[in-house]
Amino acid sequence: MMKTFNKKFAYWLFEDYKFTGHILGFYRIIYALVIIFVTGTIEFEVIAHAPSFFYNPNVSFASFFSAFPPFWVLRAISLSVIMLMVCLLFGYKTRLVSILIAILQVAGLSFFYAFGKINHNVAYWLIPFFMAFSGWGNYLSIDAKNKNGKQQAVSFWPVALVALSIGFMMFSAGFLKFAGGWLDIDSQAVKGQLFRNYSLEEKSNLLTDLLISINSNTFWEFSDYLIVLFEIAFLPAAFSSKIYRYFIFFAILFHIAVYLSFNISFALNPLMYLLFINRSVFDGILKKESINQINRFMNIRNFLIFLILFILLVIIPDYLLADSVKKLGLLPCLRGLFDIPGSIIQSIWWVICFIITMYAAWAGFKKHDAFEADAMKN
Amino acid sequence: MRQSHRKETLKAIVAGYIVFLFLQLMFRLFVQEPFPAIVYPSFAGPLGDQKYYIIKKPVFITYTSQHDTLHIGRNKVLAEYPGSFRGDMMSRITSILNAFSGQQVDYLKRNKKSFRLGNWQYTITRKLKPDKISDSDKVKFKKWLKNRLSNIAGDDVKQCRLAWYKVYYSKSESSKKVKKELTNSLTVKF
Repeated sequence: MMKTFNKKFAYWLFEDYKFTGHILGFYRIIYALVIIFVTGTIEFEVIAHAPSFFYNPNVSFASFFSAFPPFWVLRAISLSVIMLMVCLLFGYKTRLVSILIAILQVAGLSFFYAFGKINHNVAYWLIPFFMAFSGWGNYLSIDAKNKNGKQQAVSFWPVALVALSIGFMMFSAGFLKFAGGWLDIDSQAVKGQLFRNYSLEEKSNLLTDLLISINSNTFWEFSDYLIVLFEIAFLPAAFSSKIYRYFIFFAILFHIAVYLSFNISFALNPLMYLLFINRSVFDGILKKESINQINRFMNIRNFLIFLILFILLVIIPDYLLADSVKKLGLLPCLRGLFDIPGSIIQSIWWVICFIITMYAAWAGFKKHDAFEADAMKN
Repeated sequence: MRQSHRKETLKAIVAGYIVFLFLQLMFRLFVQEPFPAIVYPSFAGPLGDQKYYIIKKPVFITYTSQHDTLHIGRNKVLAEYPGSFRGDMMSRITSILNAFSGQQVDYLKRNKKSFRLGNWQYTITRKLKPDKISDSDKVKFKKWLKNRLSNIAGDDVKQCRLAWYKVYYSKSESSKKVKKELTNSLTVKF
């Protein structure tokens, strides 16, 4: 029995989440592009001027200090992170860069959360940390070019660990809800939270009013149970890539529903989920011709041009706009320049995520049907 | 041989990682959430009872030099900070005001968690993070609060009362506000 378990565990860790090195490299590019252009990285320095009496960190790197660091330290961390993201985009010294991003993000965020509240933007540090060991810089990158086109090894156990970590995070959310009494038949906790969010946090979105007007206890209690069970089941699901894919599909729909009702946007999560959706999404993009084009683009000259343009178009305007921008990236910078409401960007982002998710599901079902048809013919 | 040895080592590390995941969750449950941690927010705790949703709302009641009284919500006072931080910041403000007045107003600090399933219930007590506030921070806080409230009020604020209300919303009547009850208040003179 132990032998079977050992074999299954080894299969899950080394084989179950396997795909191609090109997809891994392409994922790295998408990850860096989305952070550089869409979501941006957190500008840690916005907290530098907070009064010292608010400094009350949980157990973290920040708890070794007694006050918020000076502005220049936090600014240096923010700038380093975004510059390293550009290196990651081009796959330059990828492993070192990935680890540095993870360390700097954790250091910066631990000060950012020193008010006592921890947000859960784990994709900022979890993905670079684990993927550093996957060899995601060995394809479609400057690193690959430096190795004279020799095929480089890639590992998929870090992908399995990302799946496990996401599964565990969802499990923790479900478990803590259970601990908080969500399964009590009189709780209607979802509605309670929705209402608290609406009346205290003053947050609402398209579906908020409609949902608040629903008074059916059965509906709300069913929602409580459904959410707790879905989140708890995420952990065992991570041990099978096939089942996990379905959970990821529903997780994206779940986040969209949370955004439309609570106006809470876990905007970075789809970026983590992209590792696990149906691979056929990438098939249409990663044809031989486009792989060659990406490979040609990944060189030191383009890297330096991009870096200079990025400094001129994002870093300097961001510095000039200082007070109105809280994230460092192209879209956050444009938002600050033209005063675009954050809700518009968030909504566009979630529409894109929805389309990709639906396409992945459709491509998956289509592929499955084709496979069945072939099997029937044979 | 070397490859297989590497795989065995990795398997052991991953098994250790799984144990670590549960340990940090226990730490989150019994002590506090560390950072970094592999956990998501809980949105725990049903808010209210069978009949009502009960929301705790803080209000800064300010008294100006022109003898005006103004009610200011927490979102206005803490407008320059991210919305998700404001709950914990209010908790901190309450702790500091407690230190001024020698009272112990408890806000948002749920140190008990009850696992409930039907009639079965198990309660754990969580150790709370101690609130340490230095004397110099107390002075800085008073100055900061006076400036902040005076800026919002557009007048010199002489005194402030932080009042905590419990607001009751009906579960059966489309979340209609039913009553509002003062639970605690803390006063600071500038």
